[in-house]
Amino acid sequence: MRVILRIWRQPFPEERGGFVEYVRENVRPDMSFLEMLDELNHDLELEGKEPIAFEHDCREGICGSCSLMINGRPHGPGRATTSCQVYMRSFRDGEQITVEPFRTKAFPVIKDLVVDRSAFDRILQAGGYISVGTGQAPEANTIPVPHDVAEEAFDAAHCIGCGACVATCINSAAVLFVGAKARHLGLLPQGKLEQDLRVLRMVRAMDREGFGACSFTRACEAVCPKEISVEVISALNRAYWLARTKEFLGWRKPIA
Amino acid sequence: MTERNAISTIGLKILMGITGFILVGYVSLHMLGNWQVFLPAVYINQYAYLLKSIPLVLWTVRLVLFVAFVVHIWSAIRLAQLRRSARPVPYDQRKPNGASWESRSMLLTGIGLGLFVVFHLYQFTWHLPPFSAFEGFTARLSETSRSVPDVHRMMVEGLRNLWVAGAYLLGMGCLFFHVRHGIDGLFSSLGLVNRRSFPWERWLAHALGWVFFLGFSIIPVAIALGWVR
Repeated sequence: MRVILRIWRQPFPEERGGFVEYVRENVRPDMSFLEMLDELNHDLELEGKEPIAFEHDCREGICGSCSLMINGRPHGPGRATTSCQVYMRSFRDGEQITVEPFRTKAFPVIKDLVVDRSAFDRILQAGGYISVGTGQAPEANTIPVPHDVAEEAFDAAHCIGCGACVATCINSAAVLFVGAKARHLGLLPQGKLEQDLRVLRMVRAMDREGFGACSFTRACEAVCPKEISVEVISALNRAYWLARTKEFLGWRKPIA
Repeated sequence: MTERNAISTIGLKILMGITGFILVGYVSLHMLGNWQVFLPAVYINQYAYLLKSIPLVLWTVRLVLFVAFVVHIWSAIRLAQLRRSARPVPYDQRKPNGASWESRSMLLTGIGLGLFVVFHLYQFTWHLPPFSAFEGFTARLSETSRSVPDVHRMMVEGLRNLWVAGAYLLGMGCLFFHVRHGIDGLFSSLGLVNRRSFPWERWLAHALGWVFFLGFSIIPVAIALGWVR
C-alpha cells in the first residue's frame, strides 16, 4: 500500500518546526507504524538526510515511551493501543497521515516527534511513592487486601505514564495520570497512610508544571492505552478536598 | 501568596461545581414557579408578590445568587486562561476523541447563558426600554384588593414578540447543553462518582438538561401559540 506522511520536523527546541511530506510506496499492511517509520529513516539515512526522531522502547505496548499524535488522536486509531501497536492495515491505501508530537507547555518538544515528559517524573517525585520498605514479593500477602480492592488498585496501576491523556485533553490536564497514581497507592494499606500528604503534594506539583484543569470531557479515558477509568479523577478530587480541608483547619500539619 | 494559599486547579473546579450547583438549584425553583403561568393569572401574581414581600429573604437570595454568579464567571475566566497557557502551540489535526460537543463548548454555552441572563433581567426585572411599559402593569389580588405588579400580563406581552421568544429559546438551548455537561462535571469535581455510579449520574445530568429545556421553553411556545393569554 501507499501512504502520504505529513511529519512534524523540528531540529531543536528553540527552532521553528514545520510539516514535511514523505510518500511511502510498497508499505506492507502487517507492518507496525513504527516499523514503517524505521524504513523511512533507513531510506533518509541512505540519502544522507537526518532521520526522524521519535521515542520508542519496548514496542509491545507496556513501556509508555512512544508518543505520537496520529491524525489527531494520541497513539493513532484503535482503542487501548499505544503507537507501537498500531499496524498499517488500520489505514486506507493512499491515506494522508499527519504525525505530530504531543502538545502541551509541560511537554516541550526536544526534537521532531520527541517531547520531554519529565514533568510526570517530577509529579511522581513529589508524592507518587510509599516511603517505607514494603518488603519482597512474599510480604505482599502479610497484610490481607480484599480482592475487589486489589483489583481496583491494579486497574489504576496499569497507567504507563505515556501522557496521551494530557495530549488529547482540551485543557492539557494531567488529572487522569495523577488520579491513577493516587488511586493505585491510596487504595492499598501501605499507601493509605500517606494519602493526604501524597495527594496535596502531587496536585501542587501538577499545577507547578502548568497542566490545565479537568473539564471532564472523558477524551482521556477514550484514548488511554490502558483504559484507565475517569473514576480516578473523581477519586482524586475527593481525596484532594478532604486533605485540603484538614490542612486548612489545622487538623494536619501544613505541607511545606 | 504562598503556593498553599493559592487556589489549585482542582480548587477552581470545586468552586465551579458548588456555584454551579447553587445556580442549578435556583433554576429548578424558578421553573416550578414559572409553571403557574398556566393557572389563572392570580396564582403567579400572588406568588410574585410573596417572593418580594419579605425584603430580607429577597435580598439574601439575590446576594447568594449574585455571589455564585460572579464566582462562577471568575473561575471560568481563570480556567480559560489556564487552558490557553497550557497549550501554546496548537495541533494541526485534532479530533474530539470521544469528548461530547457540550463538554468542549462550556465556555460558549456559558457566555450565551450569561448574555441571556442579562437580557432576562433587563426585560423582566429592570423594565428598561423598550420594555418600560411592564412597569405600569398592575393587578388586584382578590382577597386583599391590594394592587400588585401583573406578572402574568408582563409574561404574556413580553413573550408574544417572536424575536423575544426566539431569544428565550436560544437561551434555553444554551442552558440545555450547559446543564447536561455541568451536572456531569459537578459530580466528578466534587468527587462523588465512580464507575458504578456513572450511568445514573449521566442519566440524571441528561434528564435535568431536558427537563429544564422543555420546562422553560413550553412557556414562550405556549404564549406564541396563544394557549396562554
